[in-house]
Amino acid sequence: MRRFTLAAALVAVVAMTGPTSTRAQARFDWKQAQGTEIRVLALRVWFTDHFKANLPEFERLTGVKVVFEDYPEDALRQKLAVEMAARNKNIDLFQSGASLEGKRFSTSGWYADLNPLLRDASATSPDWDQKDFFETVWKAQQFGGQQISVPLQAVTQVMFYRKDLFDAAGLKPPKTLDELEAAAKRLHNPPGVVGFASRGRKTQAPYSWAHFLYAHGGNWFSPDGKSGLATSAALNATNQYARILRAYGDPGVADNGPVEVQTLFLQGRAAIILDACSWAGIFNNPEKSKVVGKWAVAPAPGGPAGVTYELWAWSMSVSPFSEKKRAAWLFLQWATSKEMQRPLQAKGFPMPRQSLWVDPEWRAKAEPSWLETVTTQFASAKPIGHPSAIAAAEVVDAVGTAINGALAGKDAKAELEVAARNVNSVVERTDKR
Amino acid sequence: MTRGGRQPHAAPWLFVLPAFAFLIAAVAFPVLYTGVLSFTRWSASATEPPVWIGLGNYADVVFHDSGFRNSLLVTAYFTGVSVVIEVVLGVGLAQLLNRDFIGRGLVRTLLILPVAGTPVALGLVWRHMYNPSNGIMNWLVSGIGLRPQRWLSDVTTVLPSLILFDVWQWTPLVMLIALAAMVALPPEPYEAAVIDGANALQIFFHLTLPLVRPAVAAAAMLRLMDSLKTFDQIYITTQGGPGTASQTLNLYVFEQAFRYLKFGYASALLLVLFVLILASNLILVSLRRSEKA
Repeated sequence: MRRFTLAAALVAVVAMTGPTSTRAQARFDWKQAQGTEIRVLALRVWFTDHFKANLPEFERLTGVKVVFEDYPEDALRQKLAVEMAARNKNIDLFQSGASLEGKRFSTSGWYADLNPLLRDASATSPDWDQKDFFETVWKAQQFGGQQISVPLQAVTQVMFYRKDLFDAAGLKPPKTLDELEAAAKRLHNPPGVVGFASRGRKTQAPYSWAHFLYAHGGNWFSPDGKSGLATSAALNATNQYARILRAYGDPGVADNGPVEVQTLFLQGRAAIILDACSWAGIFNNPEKSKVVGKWAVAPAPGGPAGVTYELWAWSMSVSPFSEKKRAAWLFLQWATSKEMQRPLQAKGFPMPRQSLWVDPEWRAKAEPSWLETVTTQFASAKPIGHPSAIAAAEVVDAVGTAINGALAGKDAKAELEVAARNVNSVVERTDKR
Repeated sequence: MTRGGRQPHAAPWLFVLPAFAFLIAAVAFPVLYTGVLSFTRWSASATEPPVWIGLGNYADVVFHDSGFRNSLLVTAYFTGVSVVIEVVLGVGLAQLLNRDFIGRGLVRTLLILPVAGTPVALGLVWRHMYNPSNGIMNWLVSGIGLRPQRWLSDVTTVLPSLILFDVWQWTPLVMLIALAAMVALPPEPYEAAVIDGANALQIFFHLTLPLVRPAVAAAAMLRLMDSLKTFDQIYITTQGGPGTASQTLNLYVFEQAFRYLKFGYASALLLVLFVLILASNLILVSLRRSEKA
């Protein structure tokens, strides 16, 4: 009885100290936004399908209704540009790729800072466990001191290769890009199988090419912010990338994006690819893949300057113009919770939560070479696949045009010099702003 | 408006008001808004409003933009070649089909199918057909003993490949218009020509062609306008690539606006494109006028 009065007195004191002390309301409640409806602009891919399939569960948990609008990648960006420029209040959440467009979107004020929500115990579930995310992936979602998004996946470029073809030819998985070139030459057997398949389309090639750039000691930008394209490292990287693809690649390479590269491997028509580790699931799906059980994974090969592993993640953000930020944040927590990520991880999609990677039951089922490679690469991976610039798209396209020139047999040096000039003028202009 | 000395009525104006308001909202406003934006620099930022830079964008378009110059050349090549081929082929086909034969209806229907197809679906089909590894085009050219081509994936063959696609899709439209004109021609001059001993070629060049010329010119103008604005079929097949080899003006503007978010600059480009299309049509119209005079 005495204890009760003491507690009651404490509550009274807390209540009297007014709005600065909100302890009494600080309890997290999934039902806090019951009855609202939120709208999500999303990418039309597997994670969005997963969210949509499980929506009834979220709506039961929170009483918040969710409307999904999903688009292919390019269309999503266009839709976003139009909606954000118009400061549309009806969009509460959207997906983007921070390492490609984070800088531009955040300088344009398209992201709500998630830090206040993360710090607010009444907004963030105690079970959500932010520290569980890989640090490299979590930090890649920060710009200018703001937390702009939460990762929906974690991707690093790995080398998928056809174990059966390598064994038949008595080859070992290449450890360097030169060895990769030699293996591609050996296994190139058109029209049945090409030695090496990779992205060649203007907007997509730079993502794959960047691995070669860093392996040759290059960088998107020099320390003083100038383009790193007119360098011998970039030239060597471009020459090697174009040489392998011209001699041992798909004839349609200049038009190939991720879908085409993935399809070539799925159909058993590529011996080696260097691309997203998240494709492991589909490569082992007997309904879609002709190479189930015939492939293995090895770390992305290095070059004269060693190796830098690439990191990429699609992520989800709250719109700064949303009037239902708390409801949106509830959805974002639910979508990136361990419970929601576990089934995806089980299907071979790499997730950004470390706890899922140490789960012994899951480890026992995962493809061993994939598991080992991906966990090794995550420890040091960096977002090198895209230039860190406000004008990232222009930089990517300038490089892509140079790569396309090299793929068509033009002088790579001249192509890169033009690209460097374009990049420098674009970056100067966007920075001046 | 005045009739029988009565005061002018407001009623007729009221009746056209809704249509007028709609026209302002749907046509004039977007054009004016684009015009205003074209004098600014704005990257769709939510924090920084558009900055007024006067004629700066136009100066960049005209003097500094190599991408614009490239797409101007690509557009001229694509439009020039495809429209000429479509008009010549279309008129020729119309002449062939302008007679009675078994299955005429079927042939005409089949020929019209490409016009009726949705550009996106057709674009995907042609993209597959042009695939260098497993597309039907390389199978066809190998069949007649030619070397396999890279088609859309090569800077030298991408435009001819796209022109072939465009010709396949739009020749039937020219044919339809020319055929409609031919069917409506009076029989008397032809009877006279036959009596005078003219052969088929002479009849076609000296009789049919001059008589259907206005219809053909209209068809050419339609195709010219459309071709200068081509977007969907190129976007679906090549996205303007490889590099910028098939980047027509419309694709270039699209890239500036929705990929680079340079809305001010893209607006200026759009108005330049608008003026170019208008000018090319005015030239065509004045050519027809001077011909008649």
